[in-house]
Amino acid sequence: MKAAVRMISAALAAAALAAAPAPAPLRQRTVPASLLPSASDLPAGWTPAGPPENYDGEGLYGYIDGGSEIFLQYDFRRVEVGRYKKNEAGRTKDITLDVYRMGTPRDAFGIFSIRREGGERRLDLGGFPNWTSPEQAAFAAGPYFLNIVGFETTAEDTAVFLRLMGRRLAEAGNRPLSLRDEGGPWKGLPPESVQEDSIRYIKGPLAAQGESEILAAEFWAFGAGTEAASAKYGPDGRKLVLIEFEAVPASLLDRVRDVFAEYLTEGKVEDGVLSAKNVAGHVFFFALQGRRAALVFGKTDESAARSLLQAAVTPR
Amino acid sequence: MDHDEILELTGEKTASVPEAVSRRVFFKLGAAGAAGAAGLALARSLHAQDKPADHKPPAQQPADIKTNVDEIRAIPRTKDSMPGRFPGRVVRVETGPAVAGGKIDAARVEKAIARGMAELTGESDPAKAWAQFVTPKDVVGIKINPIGGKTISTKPEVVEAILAGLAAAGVPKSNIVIWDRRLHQMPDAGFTAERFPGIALAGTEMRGPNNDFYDEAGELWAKDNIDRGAKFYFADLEMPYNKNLLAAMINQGKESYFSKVVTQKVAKIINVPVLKNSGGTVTLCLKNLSYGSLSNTSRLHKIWAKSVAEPVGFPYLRDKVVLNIVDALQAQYDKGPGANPQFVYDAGMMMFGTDPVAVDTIAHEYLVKVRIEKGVQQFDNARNREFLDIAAGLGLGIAHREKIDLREIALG
Repeated sequence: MKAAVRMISAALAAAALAAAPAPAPLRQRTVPASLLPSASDLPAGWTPAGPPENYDGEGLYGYIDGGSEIFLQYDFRRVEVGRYKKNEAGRTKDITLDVYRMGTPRDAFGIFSIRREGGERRLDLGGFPNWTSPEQAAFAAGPYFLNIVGFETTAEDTAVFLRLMGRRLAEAGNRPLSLRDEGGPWKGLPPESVQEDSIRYIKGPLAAQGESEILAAEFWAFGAGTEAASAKYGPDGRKLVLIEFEAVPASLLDRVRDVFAEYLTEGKVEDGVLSAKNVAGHVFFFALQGRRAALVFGKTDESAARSLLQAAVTPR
Repeated sequence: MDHDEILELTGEKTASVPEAVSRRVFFKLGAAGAAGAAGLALARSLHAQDKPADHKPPAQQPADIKTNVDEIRAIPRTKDSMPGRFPGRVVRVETGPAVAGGKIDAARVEKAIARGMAELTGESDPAKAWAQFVTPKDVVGIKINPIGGKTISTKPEVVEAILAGLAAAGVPKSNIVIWDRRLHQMPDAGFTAERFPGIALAGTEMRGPNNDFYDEAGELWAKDNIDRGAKFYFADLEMPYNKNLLAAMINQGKESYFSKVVTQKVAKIINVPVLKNSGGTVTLCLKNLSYGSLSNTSRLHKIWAKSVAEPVGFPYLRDKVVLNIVDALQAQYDKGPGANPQFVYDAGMMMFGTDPVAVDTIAHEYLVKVRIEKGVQQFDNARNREFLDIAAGLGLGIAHREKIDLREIALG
């Protein structure tokens, strides 16, 4: 118990000293009028299927309606939409390229990160985080998030467009966001046994709810000073959500305990750690240290979850 | 039936929200009790030093935002009003391999619809089954959802099978309208004049002959597609729209107007949504109707639950939607409602009901289960069902799971 108290105290002291990381300033760079490929730039056999479309700000509702909400919470600025087609063996393949310009590289990485699960196929794209599949591919480059959606396409089709757009974005001066160098809540994720391609940057309330319904309540203040990062760990993919508060909400533990009580079972409080299980037997652990809180959950054994929680709230 | 009778019938009149697990007995302090209590107290006292504070003045809560929903409660119901002929009855048909990798087996879809309609109505003769909902004189609107493009939209094969049913009931092609809010998105989902000859395709938002939303005078081509003379949905919130967004919203301000398709053009509506998630719930029958029929919807996302449910209580929808047929041949379990192929899967399912609330309730239960199995959700959050409770409270259908008559069929 005394050791635990010392650990908590040390964690609090470290957390108190740590200043909230400031967003990196957006570098000025020359951006071409359009990042979409022209007809002459397209891969062999592909042709434009209509003029490009542009949506900015809340005009995004006119394109993806309710899907806009989460983009707006990541400071969406504008999107260029290009549609392309290719006739092959009597079938028409379609590709839609969405080039989203977000507020900052952090925002672009964030919206990219929450749409991947980890473990997807990746390409060597000059360090740009990416994933690809036969009908969809995505990557983040500077303040841009690229989403490629195909129909009747193959893995090679989407990969060709992924490489093409990767080159274009790199030529436009965009660089990968370095999680190692960039300050953010992900800096606190324990590196041991992390699945690196599952790291997410959680900014607004919708992304937070997407991580866990536990984070859906308004008291967390996502979008109003609270941010988080998450990642999967180990072969069982237990998840850690590391939450950083600008100011810790009042009575946070009580409120989290109420949420646990409403939806989970076998709740316990031990050494300041809340734990419970859901109907599927997945374990949940929560702890608060200073301005940082950690939520661990998944289909895993309790000791693994508890170890991850402890590592998350131990200063490095 | 009057409103009270419907509420009595659906059981919503006297329903109360089930008590959550008692919070007082939930946290057991057992053997670790003393240490646990001490630990928690320590944590409390420590985080109290962080000057607990709310970050901003509390935002206006959705519950505080006034709407004109009370006005519609007084409008007399008709024999066709929701929840329709079969309150609380939901038929779920497992279609088997009707879809594989996006390829549709049209014959199997037609069979699934025939079986579903027979189970719903008790009529094995398709003509008699469909005739329970439409007459040859009705102008029938088929409300699709094309926003997911080719990836996850209402399948044309489903609508073709519905057309066959309408034809069996004697409804001429000239009396049928396939429609959505966004006419320009319909071709990408496969709804073209070439594929549906003789059937009208209609929308609210639209581009004109110049392929723009605005004419040469700067007026929206769609400005007359909304019915400003009919009852409108008022919600006490607004957001400014730029020119681009206004093209998709048609008007701004605090009023959302209904499309003339629902106020003037059609007498009956068959609702054919596609199964997708929206956060931890579904965007299905109710959302396809409300957001699919109204202008000025962007602002309404801030009161999602209310604005999904309440507009369906207006007579243009409440009294005209006679049937809901859910296309869940493919479904999307995460990152909806926008189309994201990596979360689209072959669900091989269709659902049938006259009661949109019951259908959405069953679909919610199903999709949450899928989401939990896939690991993208851990439990069913009651707040995600709020729209169902609101709709039930308006007498539009049944949201209590135990009162729903779910009938399941598996095609061989």
